[in-house]
Amino acid sequence: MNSLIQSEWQRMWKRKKTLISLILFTAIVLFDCLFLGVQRFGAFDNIHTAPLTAQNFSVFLLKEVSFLLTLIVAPLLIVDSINGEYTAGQLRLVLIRPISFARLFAAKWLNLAFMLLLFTAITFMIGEFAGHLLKPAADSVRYLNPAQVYDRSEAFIYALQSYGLFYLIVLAELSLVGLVSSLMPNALVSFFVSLGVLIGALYISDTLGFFLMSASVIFQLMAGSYAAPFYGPVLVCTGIGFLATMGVWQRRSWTR
Amino acid sequence: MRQEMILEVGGVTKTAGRRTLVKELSFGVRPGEVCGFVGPNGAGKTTLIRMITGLIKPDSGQIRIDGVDVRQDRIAALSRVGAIVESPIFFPYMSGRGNLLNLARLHGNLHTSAQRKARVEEVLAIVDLSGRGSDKVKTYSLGMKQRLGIAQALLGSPKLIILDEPANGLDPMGIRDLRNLILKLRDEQGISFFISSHLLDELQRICSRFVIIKEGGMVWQGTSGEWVDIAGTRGLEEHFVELMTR
Amino acid sequence: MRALFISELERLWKRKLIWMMFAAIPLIVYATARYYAVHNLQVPLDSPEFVTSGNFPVMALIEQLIVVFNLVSLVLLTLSFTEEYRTGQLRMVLLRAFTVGQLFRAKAAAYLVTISLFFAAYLGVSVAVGFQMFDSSETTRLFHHVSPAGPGEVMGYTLKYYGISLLTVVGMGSAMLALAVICHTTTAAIGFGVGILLLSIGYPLVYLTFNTVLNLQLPAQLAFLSLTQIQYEGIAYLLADSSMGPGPYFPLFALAVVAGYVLLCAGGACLAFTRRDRWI
Repeated sequence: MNSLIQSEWQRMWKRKKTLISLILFTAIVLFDCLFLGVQRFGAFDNIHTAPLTAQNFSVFLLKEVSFLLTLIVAPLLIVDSINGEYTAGQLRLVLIRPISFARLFAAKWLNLAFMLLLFTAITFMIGEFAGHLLKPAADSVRYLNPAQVYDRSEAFIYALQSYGLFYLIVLAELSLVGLVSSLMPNALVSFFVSLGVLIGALYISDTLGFFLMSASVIFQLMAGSYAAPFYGPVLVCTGIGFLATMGVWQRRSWTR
Repeated sequence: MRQEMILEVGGVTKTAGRRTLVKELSFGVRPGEVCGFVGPNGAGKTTLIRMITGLIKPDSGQIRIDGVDVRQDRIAALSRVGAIVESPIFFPYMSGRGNLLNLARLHGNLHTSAQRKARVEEVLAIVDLSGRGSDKVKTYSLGMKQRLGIAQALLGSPKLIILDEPANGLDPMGIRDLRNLILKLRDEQGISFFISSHLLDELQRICSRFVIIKEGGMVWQGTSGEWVDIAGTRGLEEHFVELMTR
Repeated sequence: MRALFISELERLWKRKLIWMMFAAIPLIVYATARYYAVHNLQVPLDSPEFVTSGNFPVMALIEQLIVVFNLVSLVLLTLSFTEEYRTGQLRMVLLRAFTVGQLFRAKAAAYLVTISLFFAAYLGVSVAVGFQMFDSSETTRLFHHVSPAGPGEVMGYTLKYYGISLLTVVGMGSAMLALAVICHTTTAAIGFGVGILLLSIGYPLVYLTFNTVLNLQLPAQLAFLSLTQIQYEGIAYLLADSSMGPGPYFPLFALAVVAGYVLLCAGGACLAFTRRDRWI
């Protein structure tokens, strides 16, 4: 299993695409910091705002960056690895080795999970760094729930928790887009059907709105005002998506 | 007798919708044998090769490699096989050596990085690509890609190598190099080959046994000598055309 | 040339994805209608945002124009210009007795026809769904109009809204076309295409913010350099009563922006498509 993951990891980084998207992503995040830097207030939603400080900067940065990550970067990386490599015929050389298909998928999943953790962590680190560089520090911070006051170290934990929740959503997305990519005939269809599923989920039920409205859901969740269940649906999406895709990989016919 | 076969195909059938792709195929390949797998385009050759390598599952029948059933223990069965299915598509963004090193990780018998490096250099030398190993695969000619394909098949020290139309598009030098390589591997390492092709004269020079199929079903099988005898003065090509149009 | 165009159209319409996109129209319109049914409870009866069967086709377009229509346009362009070219399928066509410029124009025409059909189908479905799901009213309030409009005026307004929307989508499509021609893989084309969409959506906010914060005193109208901004607010301005619009020069400005996109991007794409060596 270990060597499977290493082989995936190596291939991923040998693709120019990976490095280019990381560089572009970082550049956009830095620009977002600049954009936030010139503003005085961060908005939780259409109504509620809070003064931007070194302590809450990274949380508002997440709100700006979340769409880029959930709607472009993550789907592209996932579709490329799960669907693109196979439909281009490149995976055939791997499939004829003495390895299990299910484990190969698991290796790809873990590899992508790690990759997405990297993107999330970069955003967090840039956010914390830029926040302290561009904004004054505050002794106490309030977020969406005005009754909860956080001191500096609590605010740091708050930011860390928010990014953690965001990463959980990204993992659920990984499983879902992975499943779509395993069922669709090519990368293009996989990407747009995935996008349709992520956006359409909101129209199906508010419970599944976290894919599209990740930042807003996290704000509400941290404030204790999120009405729909969160952990259950996220874990179910992650788990069921993962297991179903593993089943698909174990049983399918590899005709390319 | 059973134990002696390196590849056993027993009553294998595969259908897709209403179409029967492979129909009740049965044959065997002995250790050290080079077996030619002949049939017109669309006869089901690649479909059978996909089933042998576990990429698709037969509807019925069984396939054993070195006594191991592919369906029951695909991993154990494939550890004895190297293969090229259709033309090999490499990772174009990596060098030839990089491709092999990456794939070598997927073989359980190559644990350490030193072992993998040694094995990759070994197979690169066998296919005579040591000099170009560091170049990106997208700069390779078709013949070099085909040789790299054999190199990747050799990685796991297989007992059986399956080649799907290996001579397709190769120039005469490329075909000669490929032929010599196959014979060398058979003689020096005792590797068996199962080669699909429709270049009959070429196959005749290396194969000791033939399996001929048409529309997914067996038409004829036997040794190279037997076929030459049956074909007589007509030659293999004429006889093959007769078999196909009968 | 006609044969080339028909062959392009035929290949495009053989793709399941195209049919899937058209099949999705009723679902999208229905979902939008459900959204507005809830939204109606929160807006006053005399607001232009209050949805009736009369203004539903326009409201349904407003809700989905920026994301759905631009993405559909991106799919069409990527399929036709990136995938066919980069996978070598186009070699079969390039070897025939046509110039590459003709091929480019045939592809562009096939795209224009298909995206226009998509608009027409969307209009048809939303008229039907509008009558099914919403009450009709004798007069309808339109955005930036002084007095309520009668049925005839609403119909004209709807047609104009769809027409201008189509133009802006084609303008946006020109930028995507340039990317589709340049990119070597479909995933890259999609990535950059969606990227430029997000960029267009984000630009007005960034521009207006910097303008205020840094006190640059640049004209606010420059926010409409972004085509999605024109799609978001500009079309309603273009169709506004002259007393309630943003000024007499706005239509000219908007037209220049759309024309600029088409000329620069589609022209550049045409040059890139026809002048380079074809290593496929």
